Amino acid sequence: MRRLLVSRAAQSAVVIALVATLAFVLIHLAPGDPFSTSLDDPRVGSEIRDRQRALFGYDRPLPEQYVRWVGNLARGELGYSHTLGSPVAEVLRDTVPHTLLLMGTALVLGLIGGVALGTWQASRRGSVAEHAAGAAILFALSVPEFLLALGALALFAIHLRWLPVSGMVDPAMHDSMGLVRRVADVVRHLALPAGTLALVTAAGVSRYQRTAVLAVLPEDFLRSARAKGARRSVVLVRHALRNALGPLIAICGLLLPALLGGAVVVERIFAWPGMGRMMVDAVGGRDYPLVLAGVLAGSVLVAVGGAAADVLASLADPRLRNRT
Amino acid sequence: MAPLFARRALRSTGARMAVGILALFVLCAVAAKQLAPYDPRVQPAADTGKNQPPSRAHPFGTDGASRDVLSRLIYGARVSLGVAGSSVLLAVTVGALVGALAGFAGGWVDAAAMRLVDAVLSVPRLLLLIALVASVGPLSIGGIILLLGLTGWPVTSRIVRAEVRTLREREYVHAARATGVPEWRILAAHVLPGVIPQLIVAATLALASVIPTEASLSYLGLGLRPPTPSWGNMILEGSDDPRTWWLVLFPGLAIVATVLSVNALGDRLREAIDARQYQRR
Repeated sequence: MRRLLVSRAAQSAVVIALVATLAFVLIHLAPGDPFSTSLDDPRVGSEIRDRQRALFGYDRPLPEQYVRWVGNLARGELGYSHTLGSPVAEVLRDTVPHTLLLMGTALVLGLIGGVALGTWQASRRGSVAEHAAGAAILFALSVPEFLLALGALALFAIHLRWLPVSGMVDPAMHDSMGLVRRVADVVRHLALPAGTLALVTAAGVSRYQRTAVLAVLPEDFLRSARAKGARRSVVLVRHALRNALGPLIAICGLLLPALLGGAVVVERIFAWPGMGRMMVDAVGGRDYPLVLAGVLAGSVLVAVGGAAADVLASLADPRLRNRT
Repeated sequence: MAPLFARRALRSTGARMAVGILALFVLCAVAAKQLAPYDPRVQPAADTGKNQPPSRAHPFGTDGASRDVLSRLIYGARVSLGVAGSSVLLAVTVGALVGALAGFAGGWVDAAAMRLVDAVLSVPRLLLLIALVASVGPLSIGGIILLLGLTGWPVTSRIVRAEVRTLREREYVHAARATGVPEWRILAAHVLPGVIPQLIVAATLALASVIPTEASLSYLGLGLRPPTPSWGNMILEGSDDPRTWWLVLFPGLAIVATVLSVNALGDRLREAIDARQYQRR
């Protein structure tokens, strides 16, 4: 167990370091810097641009910029965002928790839905209903998140007016609400973006779950459980589901990149104040420190989440422990 | 003559329908000029207003600049499918090369290549693309093909590597080595041909993920720029106002139909290959 923990931690660290280097190189190799485009105003003279470049260190040679960037990273300094006019660390502190809330909710809802759906499909294998569900799942997996989000927005927020269109809180009323109503307010705003992502996640999870349960069903212990007279539902939930749990937790780690990618688009559509929206906005201003920090935060999230999922999976299922 | 596994895959009605839909879109892309009723770039005629709902003259309506949506959709097929196809070709080629070398060479080459794959896969593709666009600025068609190709190869390389590693240990490969066939020839003549079925599946996977990715990027305003019509940026232009639903619905349906067809076809191909492997045992 400890060996797994150490090896997964080391692997994650290597991946994050590689991503940091790759991202830095890719971003800085491209021609131009923030001040060659964002200060297009002809009234801004070249000496002002040069001063700005010197201020943010863009006039230094690339290796020096890299060393300085890594050094700052090690001390937890992520640089200064020139488009937002505040330290990048502060921007991340304000946005990352919102993205985590969105992704976490979507992951939990998607898991519950996907497990239920996949288990049900496996138990009804070959039936007409199962085929229909399979087709619906393939359909859900083929619709890009932004289309699902636009559809949900049009139906529930604009046509039916059940849920708010955008944002995370009611801008006018939120501050004057009590705690319970504040939470309810956030939940109402969370419903559409998280629901969109949960739907996609559930579709993905159900495919794994169906295969996992189908793989467990022919095992001897299930046959003996049924032979001793356990009911079908008990066999499914107590025995089959429990044994499919380990791989399922590991799958969560694999789902994280897609979930984060989806969050970027969904945040943009529902004006959810998270990391993805912040990054899309930072692109226009070529705000390198902010974009780099976003890529890095995303990679840390995926690497740490993936490692945690692997460790949890082997806790839940001892059979997975000897694989790595 | 199509190989056996491809013929088996095409036996199902779903797969045939998928091929039909894809063929239709490819036809639109190739013969856009002949099929489109209007010029997609200019205002068709003085009598048609902007943002007209679907009518007989404009079956899919007109957009905010009075352009015919159907014509733009047909030309958009050329752009969206062209970008998707070219970038998948690039991604699969790079992925196959990296995967084959890593799997065949083993050792530190393999370890280094797979850590690189881990790193690229640990960043969501869209996030990586956003960062790259922030770096290089607005994209041309060639630029977006390059970026999509260079972010799309890791999945293919993993699939090819796994297949090469199993093929490498087959008896006929050992036999070839024993008779003195050089290593590069073993890879090229004895191992790589066996990878082709997996490579086709990898290509469908890559295609099914690149189409939504390109559309999402265009939708975020970071992909292909108007007035070049791509299905993604058509949706961006139409999604401001919920009343102009036809500007979102039709390009959206085109994207979903394409991805669904590719996914369905990929599933059948995978099943056909699995069946082939079961028979072999």
